[in-house]
Amino acid sequence: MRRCALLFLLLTLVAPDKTALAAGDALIVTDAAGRRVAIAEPVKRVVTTFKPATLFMLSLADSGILAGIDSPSRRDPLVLAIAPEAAGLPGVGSKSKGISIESVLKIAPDLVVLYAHKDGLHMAERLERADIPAIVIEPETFDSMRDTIHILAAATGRQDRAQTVIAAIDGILAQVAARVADIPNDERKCVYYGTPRGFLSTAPADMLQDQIISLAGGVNSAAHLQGYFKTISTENLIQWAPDVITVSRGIRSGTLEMLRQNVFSRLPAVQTGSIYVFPSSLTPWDFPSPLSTLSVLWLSARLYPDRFSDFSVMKSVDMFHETLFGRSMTTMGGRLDDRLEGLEKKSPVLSGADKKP
Amino acid sequence: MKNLHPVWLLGILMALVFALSLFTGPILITPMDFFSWWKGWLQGGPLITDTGSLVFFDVRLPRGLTAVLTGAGLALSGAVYQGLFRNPLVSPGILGVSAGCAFGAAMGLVLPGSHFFAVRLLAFLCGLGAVFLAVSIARAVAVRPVLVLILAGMVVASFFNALLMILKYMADPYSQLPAIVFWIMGSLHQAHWPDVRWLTPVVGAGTLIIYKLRFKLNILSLGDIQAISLGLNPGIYRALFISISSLMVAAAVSACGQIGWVGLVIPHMARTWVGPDHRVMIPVATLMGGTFLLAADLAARSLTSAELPVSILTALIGGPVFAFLLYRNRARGWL
Amino acid sequence: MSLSCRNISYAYNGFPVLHGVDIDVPHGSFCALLGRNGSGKTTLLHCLCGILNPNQGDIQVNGDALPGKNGAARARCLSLVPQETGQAFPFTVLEMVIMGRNPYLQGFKQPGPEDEQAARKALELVGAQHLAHRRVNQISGGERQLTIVARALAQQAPVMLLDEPSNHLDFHNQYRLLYKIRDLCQSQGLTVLAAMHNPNVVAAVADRVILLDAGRIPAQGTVEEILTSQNLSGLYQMQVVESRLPGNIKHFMPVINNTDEGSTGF
Repeated sequence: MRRCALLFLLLTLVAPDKTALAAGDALIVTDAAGRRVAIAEPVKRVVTTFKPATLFMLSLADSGILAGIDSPSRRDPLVLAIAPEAAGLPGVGSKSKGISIESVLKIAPDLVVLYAHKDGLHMAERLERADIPAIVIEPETFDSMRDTIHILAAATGRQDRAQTVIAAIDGILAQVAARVADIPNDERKCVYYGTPRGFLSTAPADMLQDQIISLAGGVNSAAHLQGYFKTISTENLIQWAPDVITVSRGIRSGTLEMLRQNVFSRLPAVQTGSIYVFPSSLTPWDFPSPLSTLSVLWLSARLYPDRFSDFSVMKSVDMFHETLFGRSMTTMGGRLDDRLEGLEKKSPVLSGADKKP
Repeated sequence: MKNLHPVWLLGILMALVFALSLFTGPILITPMDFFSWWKGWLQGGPLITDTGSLVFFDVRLPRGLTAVLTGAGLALSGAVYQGLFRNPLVSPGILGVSAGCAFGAAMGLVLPGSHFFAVRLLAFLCGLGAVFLAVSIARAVAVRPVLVLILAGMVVASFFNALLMILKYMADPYSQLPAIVFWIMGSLHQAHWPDVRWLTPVVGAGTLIIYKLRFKLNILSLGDIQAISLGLNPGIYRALFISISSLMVAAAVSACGQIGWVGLVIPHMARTWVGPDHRVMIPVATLMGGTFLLAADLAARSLTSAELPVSILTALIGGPVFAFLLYRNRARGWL
Repeated sequence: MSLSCRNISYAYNGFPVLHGVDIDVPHGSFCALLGRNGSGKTTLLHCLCGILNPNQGDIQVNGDALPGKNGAARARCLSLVPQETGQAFPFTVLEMVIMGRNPYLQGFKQPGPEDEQAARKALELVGAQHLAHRRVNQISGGERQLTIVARALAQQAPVMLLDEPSNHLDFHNQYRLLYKIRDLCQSQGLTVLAAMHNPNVVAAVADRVILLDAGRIPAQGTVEEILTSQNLSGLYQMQVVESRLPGNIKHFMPVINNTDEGSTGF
């Protein structure tokens, strides 16, 4: 009862008092939704509400800046490797299951980083009414990831650090681009991507995974589709006949079950055994985070091994981790772990239907 | 023998839609291709020689068969439930059987060490539990039986759907979640031969037994007093019919998730066409259900370049059709 | 064939409804069962045809014990015309009557041409052959009762039990139906036990009467000996006067005293 009353007080009585805040050492930041947010400096305690925000924040600042994080990040091996204390930080919920505004108010942070979808904007307004500055970010593509870094850097006063991070990202992308630039369009490999929703769900054009594939020099087999993750049929996949199949980490067992079916036996990817799982064992690279950059490098090296024969992917990966998080992936115990184990190679033609009686 | 007519008509229609579905899809396959495969096979070669034949025999054929078996099973179960409970408004979906089966299947999936059989057995048991619950609640209330059974079914359905949501909430978002979502929104895009191998004996035997016993449904639909006076033991027959139809629903749900409305609307359309006598209505509803789901799935995979869950289409068609039937039968006192 | 039962008792949820009932219905007779609401008429009929299991007592048809639990065998001996209930589905009259053949169709057997023949014959017996293809929701209440009687006839059971067969019927249909049943008793040797409400109708159509009062049988016998103003006054706990109609048919009128309205009988 008392907490309710307190919350009510916070939400109503304190709200009109905004001028007091603006008069101090305030800084105006324009976030991904174009909202102009006044943030009182210095920002020392930040709450992040979804994993990409947490990882971007960790790439820009010491883990000490986090006063609360999204609950799933408290179990993420990468986050824990960078900041072991994350396990003990208060969890504020998650993007998919909802953020608890009460937990955020209890932490009383200097800044809250929210997502632009779902209830993110609504939540930001509510927090502002309680005098807690909240910005939204929308890291969905490589461009918007750079914007995200700039916004977060501006909000926390770490512009110099942002330059380092963006340079690391652009460095990797440039290296890949140089190696795949001269591949003619008709020799680019067709890549299928299976989303966390299931093997027969894929990412249409303009999604991050589509960008990863094209930056790596491949062609997304679903590039002609539009919208969010799309469910497809077995026949669609056979028609697209991808040279390489990549899947999100979570659907490894479902993918195995699927690919053991005879119907897929004629897919070029199955015949050549070109089936990969997005790295890494620490955190998935096929979702928005600074590490999406590494998935471009990894995929490109998998698609065109000849062009990367003189190149150590692991070394770049380790360096990138070191630059961003201060520790290499290897020292954090991470592995690429990108093979789908347990799929025996099949002969191209074998079916129950063609056995003669 | 004029009663045979609709059955033949539907049989022909189903064959036509089936043929159409085999030759429709993103990969172009013509009847000429089909004949050349058979020719090659008859000359001693393999039947599957290229991608076209692979798609034809390993994708479209099992998918078409799954659609027919699922649609037939659901429509037949709906017809049986309606006859059994003397209630034209019940169906596997409305009584919560589908929800129960979906929950059971999802539970079988989440439990450690689960496999194919466990998923189906749990689906069947939870489906049976759902009917039992719905009927028990309706019995306990014991007023306005038609309405109360539907409300009880609603209670049971939302209860099992809530349990399913809890599973979904607790499930590992990166591995089990996609499979659980699959049970909620029915779709045939994953249909493959193992589904057919499981559905065929269950739906086949179920259909055969119910077909053979369909006259008893007429008698059961008169109520217990008249059934007993006509020398029928309603308890035994009801248990038999409920088990068989719930088993068919469980098989259908395990194969392609919850597909609503087929079990409610198809028996009505059959009854409107050939009358309520189960001797004719049962085969008509069965064929109609198979044809309907086959056509709906054909539309679901042809309307867009990707896949539309077929349950969306069945709801889109079934809802308005049912509203129309309610309106047309407004004077009959359905409730 | 005659129907008799000895010492039938039945309790519903521990509440006794029938107390050691003995009845005798001779072959080919139309026997009416008279009693107040709640006296146990329907319970007795349901005990006879196996819908309820009596706690004790036995039932005999033609002196032989009724085939016990086997529903079909019992249904070949005894048919029931229940109180009118709503139909879930609008079957046609013929479809309805064919259902009477169920006791002869074990397991997977479906009705064949000979069953349809029997059903049509039953319809003919009640004079309703013209209704064969009408739906039961499109015919009158009287025609619907005729259909159920025809269905009971299609059961080809020697004994027919009727539960208030003319309850929802109008004046004309009531007599038409009951005269039809009486004719069947005479022409087919059908033995009939019918729960009824109106003593005047009973006097007109039945030849025997069984009185049922709170689960006991105070009297049974021919209409002439049992259907008396004295017995009826006792049964309905109100004064009943008797007069005679042309043809020496008995006619009864209750004496309604406005001051005791509501005190008894309802």
